[in-house]
Amino acid sequence: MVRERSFRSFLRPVPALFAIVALTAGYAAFRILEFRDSFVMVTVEESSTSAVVAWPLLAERLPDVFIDGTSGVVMLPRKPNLLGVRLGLYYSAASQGIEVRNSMRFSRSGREMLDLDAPISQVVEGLDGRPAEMVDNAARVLSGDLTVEGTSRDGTVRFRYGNSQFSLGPGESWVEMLALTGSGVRAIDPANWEAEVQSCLANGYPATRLAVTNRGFWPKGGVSAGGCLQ
Amino acid sequence: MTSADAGPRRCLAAILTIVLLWVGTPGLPRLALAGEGGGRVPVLLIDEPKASAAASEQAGVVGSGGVAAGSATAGAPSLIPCLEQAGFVRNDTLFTFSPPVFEDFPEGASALAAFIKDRAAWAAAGAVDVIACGVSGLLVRLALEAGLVPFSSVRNLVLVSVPNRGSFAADLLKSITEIVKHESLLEQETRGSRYLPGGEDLPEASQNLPGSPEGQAASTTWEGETGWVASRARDIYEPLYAKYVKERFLTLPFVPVENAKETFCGWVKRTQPDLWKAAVEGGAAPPGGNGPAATTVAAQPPSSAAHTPPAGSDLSGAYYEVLAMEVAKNQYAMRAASKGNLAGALAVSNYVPGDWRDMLIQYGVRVLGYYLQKALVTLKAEAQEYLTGRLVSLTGYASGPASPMLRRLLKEDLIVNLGTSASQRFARLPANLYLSGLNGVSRAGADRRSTRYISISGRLTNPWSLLWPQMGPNDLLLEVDSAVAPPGVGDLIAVFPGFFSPSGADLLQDPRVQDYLLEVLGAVDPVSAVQVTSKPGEAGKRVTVSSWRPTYLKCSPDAPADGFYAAVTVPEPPEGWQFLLWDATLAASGSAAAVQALTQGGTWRLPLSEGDLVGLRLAWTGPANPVTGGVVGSAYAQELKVPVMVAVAAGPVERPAGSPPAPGAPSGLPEPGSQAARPGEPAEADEAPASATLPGESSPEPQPGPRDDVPLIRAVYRTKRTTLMNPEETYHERWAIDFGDGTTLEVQGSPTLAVSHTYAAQGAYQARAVSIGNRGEELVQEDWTVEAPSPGTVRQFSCVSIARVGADLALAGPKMWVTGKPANYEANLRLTLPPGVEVVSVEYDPGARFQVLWERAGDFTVSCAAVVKLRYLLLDEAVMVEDVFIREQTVNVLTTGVVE
Repeated sequence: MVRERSFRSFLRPVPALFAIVALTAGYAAFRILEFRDSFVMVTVEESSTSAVVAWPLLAERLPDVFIDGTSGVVMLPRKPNLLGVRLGLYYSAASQGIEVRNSMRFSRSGREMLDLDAPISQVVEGLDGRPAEMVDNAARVLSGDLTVEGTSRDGTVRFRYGNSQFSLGPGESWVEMLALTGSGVRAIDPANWEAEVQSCLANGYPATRLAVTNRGFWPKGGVSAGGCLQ
Repeated sequence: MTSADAGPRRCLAAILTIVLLWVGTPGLPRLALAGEGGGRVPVLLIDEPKASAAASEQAGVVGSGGVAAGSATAGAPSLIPCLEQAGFVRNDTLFTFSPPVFEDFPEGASALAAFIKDRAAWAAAGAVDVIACGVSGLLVRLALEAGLVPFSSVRNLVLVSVPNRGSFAADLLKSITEIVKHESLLEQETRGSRYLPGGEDLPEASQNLPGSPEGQAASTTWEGETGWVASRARDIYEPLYAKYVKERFLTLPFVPVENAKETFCGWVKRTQPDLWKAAVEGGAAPPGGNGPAATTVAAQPPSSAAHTPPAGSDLSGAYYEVLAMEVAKNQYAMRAASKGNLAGALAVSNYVPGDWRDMLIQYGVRVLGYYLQKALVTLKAEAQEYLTGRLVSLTGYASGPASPMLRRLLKEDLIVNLGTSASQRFARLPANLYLSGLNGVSRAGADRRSTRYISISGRLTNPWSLLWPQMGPNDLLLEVDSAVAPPGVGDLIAVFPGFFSPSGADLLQDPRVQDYLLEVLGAVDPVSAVQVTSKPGEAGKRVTVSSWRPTYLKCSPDAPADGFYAAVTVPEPPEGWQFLLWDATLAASGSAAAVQALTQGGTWRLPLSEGDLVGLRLAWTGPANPVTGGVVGSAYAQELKVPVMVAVAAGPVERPAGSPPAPGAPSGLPEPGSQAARPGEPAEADEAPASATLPGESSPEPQPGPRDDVPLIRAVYRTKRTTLMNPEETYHERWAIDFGDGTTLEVQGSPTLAVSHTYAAQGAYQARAVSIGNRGEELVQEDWTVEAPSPGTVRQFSCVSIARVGADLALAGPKMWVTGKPANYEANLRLTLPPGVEVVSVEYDPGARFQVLWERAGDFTVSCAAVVKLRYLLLDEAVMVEDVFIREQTVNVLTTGVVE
């Protein structure tokens, strides 16, 4: 004989469920309110000495992300939903002064990963009308991916890059420059960087600088859509 | 995308057209159609210049009467049948011409002038209509403005996708050809050192920069365009670019900059302010000598040397500086790519040779690869020069990179990306002095010419505007603003959205364009006026003034009067715009029209005679593709419409002295500053109370694109107001009573007065109660004669004034929307009326239902006005009051990325 469950037995888990929902909602609300009006802005700038191989370089090409640190402005093709966003991660890759990739990501969890190992492809139209690859990925010398492991309430951001880990408070920067020489990959010594970079340029050795900067709290109101689109 | 994409289609169209033309040759259907074209103004259809058009020119232009070969219609095969259906007859009232690519403006203008004169003579017509595509339109314009063809010979000049103010494509082509040319020169210079085993070094920044005394001494002297650009790039900008790359991208330790997007130009401006100020900002003049004086150029016959200014006197110094920066960047990249010495190439890995044979193969391959890399630089430079030459001739702009025509078509202004800050992201620099000079002269005489210019352009959201803001926001290769000829008062502008091709011939295939052409060319009387008549009970008429077309008003009084005038009340014009007001009767009779620019809001009184036409339009006063903050805009991409109020009132208004009367219809407009025209003067209530009693009239010219009864308002700027009305209420606020015996009283509040007063002495008194309104004006006045037979007489006074009505204006519509799609709004006014008040009428502005289409994202305000006419039945009279209620709503507009 099967005993029928009483109506009360059905109600027994309701308070627990209610508590879980309330806690979750409360935590979500707390997370949203924690970064209600601003987010932590991190810029990652990759610059190589010889990754651009196609030229001539024609008219000035603007990236589709524009940031202005003076007034805390970010211009994007579309305005994102910034509710609960605590981290903004701007990435730019350039070589010989020419930007070949840029992106802007927003994270609600405060974690993000930049797949720096992934090849960059910037196909431009050659003079003969055929597509030509502008970027030589072999000339980008990087240690691996860059992972943002967390963003604290005080604006401190934790990173992992290759085998190293570091944290940056608002206004702090981290930089590393690697060169691919005849004897393999080695880091450029900051104390003697000018001579070493000149040597790399003269010998045609590719070198890449990766600079990570925590630019502190940026107002969410400064994020706008449209860029120069009228 | 280039016109080459349409090659097969154009071939097919050409064959089709040739067949059509054969059918229409003299002796066959032409006889049957003879007379159908009678009375029509002949139309000349001139195609874009093409490299393969020389044969057709010879076959078709001179005297034979045969239509030029069908290539003229290759881009628009459906236009000829369309015109034929409308009654135009080939060889009689319809002629075509496909010109070849010209070397310079004067040559092209002369050739097209000969064609126009020849066709006009063949058709025995006093005047013709000309439809010209692309560069041909610019050349026809020049032929008219240089006097090669009298304005009286061309009634309408339709300019289809014409680079009137230059073309971005020409800018790009010129940059490419210059960069490639200099790359080739540098390759030849460095060829020897490149193949040396030691390689070559990157240039270091020069210590002698302009701005310093040493730099001034070392400044470049003009010896020729190529030499000048090469020396500026080599001596100044390439070392600076190397420094820029080193400081900005390679420095250790890393010091972050606030403006991470700063470009080389921005960096030069920041770090070399003297150089930037002296060479770039101060480069308004040409580097090689005096620039072409616009008036001199325009006054000279096109065959003279003044019309063909050489390189160095037609473009600004600023243009050459920016070009030298581009060349320098490219040369830096070229040197970097050809870097490396043989030893480094051989020692690129830790290879340990096994035997001599293996070693020979290993190092032999490396040596071969090393020199192959060097040889590729040479091969590439050689190939590029050939390909750019082909590219230039393919576009039809010029026969080759060295052709003067290419430089003539550069844009008037250059928009340079600095990337420094959101508000100062772009700099505008003068570039094509020759073209801007010609346009300046054209602009100055625009109101006097009798030929009507009709500028037609396609418009499409530029998906690459973030990449290439110089292109303008709405078009691929021909910006809307650049396609608009310097507008005269009677000119028309039509922009067709959603059109993808920069080719004018392609644009002519669009049925909307064909319909529009038939409407504007088919009209015998180009003026279709809005009738404005003063009638009892009507205080004025709301008329829409447009930026794309003139609005003509035919004003007349209801009854014969000795004199009458129109009171035109204009709001404050939008930023950068002005209203133009002119005597269209004078303009139509060929006299110089007295055009007045109204730069501020106010009421203008215009003395009129029976039958006079008054013209009104909006005109942009700023540069093409205005840059506002970090945004590149387009003034004429969308039609701007502003409602104005026009009332007609009887009464003499002094005519301005010196105003030339029109034959048969004496009329004149006040000169600026004369007694008759006083901008900003408020209209008196009994003369021209501005009340919107009639629905807004659409402008008389046909509108391109779909129409809708619901008004559509396009919003670009955040300051855009969807109604230009301001809230205005009239109601009682206080009573001021004078009892006549020296006693006064003020009563605040209720519009119904009920007070008593005791007269202390016997006598007769004049008592007065005045109702003071909310704006301090007198609303109602009541007088009494009081007889006090004895001291202590008590007298009651009662009176009624204008009570405030309760109004709740609701505005229903979205509070969040996207760009590019119209949002619907509906206004509804609910009134709570006090006793004795009747509603005469309720009008909404911009309408009870209206649509708003936003062109950009952001927070906007939608506002709506309700204009209520109320009749107050007071004790012994009825008073009319007009109240305006405003409702505003904030809308968060998001972007979809595409604006239709």
